[in-house]
Amino acid sequence: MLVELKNGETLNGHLVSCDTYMNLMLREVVQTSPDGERFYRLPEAYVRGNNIKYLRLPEEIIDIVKEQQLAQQAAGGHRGGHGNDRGGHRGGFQRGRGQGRGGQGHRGGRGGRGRG
Amino acid sequence: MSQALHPYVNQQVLILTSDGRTLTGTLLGHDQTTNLILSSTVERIFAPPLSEEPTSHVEHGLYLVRGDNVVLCGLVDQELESGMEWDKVRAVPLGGVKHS
Repeated sequence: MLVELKNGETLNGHLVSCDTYMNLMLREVVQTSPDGERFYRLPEAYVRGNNIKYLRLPEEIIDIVKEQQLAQQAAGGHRGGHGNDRGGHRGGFQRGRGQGRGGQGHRGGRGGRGRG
Repeated sequence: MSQALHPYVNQQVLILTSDGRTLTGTLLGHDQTTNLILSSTVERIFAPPLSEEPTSHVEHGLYLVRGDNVVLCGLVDQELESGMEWDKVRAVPLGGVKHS
């Protein structure tokens, strides 16, 4: 899938997992600078959902998801799994977000002390 | 209110994004944060006034637009749309919003 970020960078890679914040974990990523001139190959990338502008997805996945939803309903009306097959990773990502926020708070705190 | 887009599902819609792009496609789904899923998405890139070049269309396929970037989602009037000669249309490009 292709992910365009709000700053114009694009990330092209394989989706490993995602969560309800749209935080993504990608593998085998090609990152393109906003001007489209520089390319970076990253083995792995984590994207915080709020930086995303849009995703370009392969057309096939819409059918795959439909099938999975039907299978889920048949298995006992288990709702959710919003368009993704890796619900099991959700816990991991919530932890990830927690760390992110902690980091921000820390930085804010340090800045405050610096000024004082 | 989050269900307000529901009547548009499986219909052709036009999206304006906060960076000033125009996308049309079939609305497959949406959620409470206005994330929109479009299929057969086409970006319409208007030729500026007096340009010799025609207004162009770029196919993007299946698209998920994050709600933050959605400015407008409108239902396409099929009667009007079929009568449009888009390649002859000229338009000043839209700017982005202040915090895009």
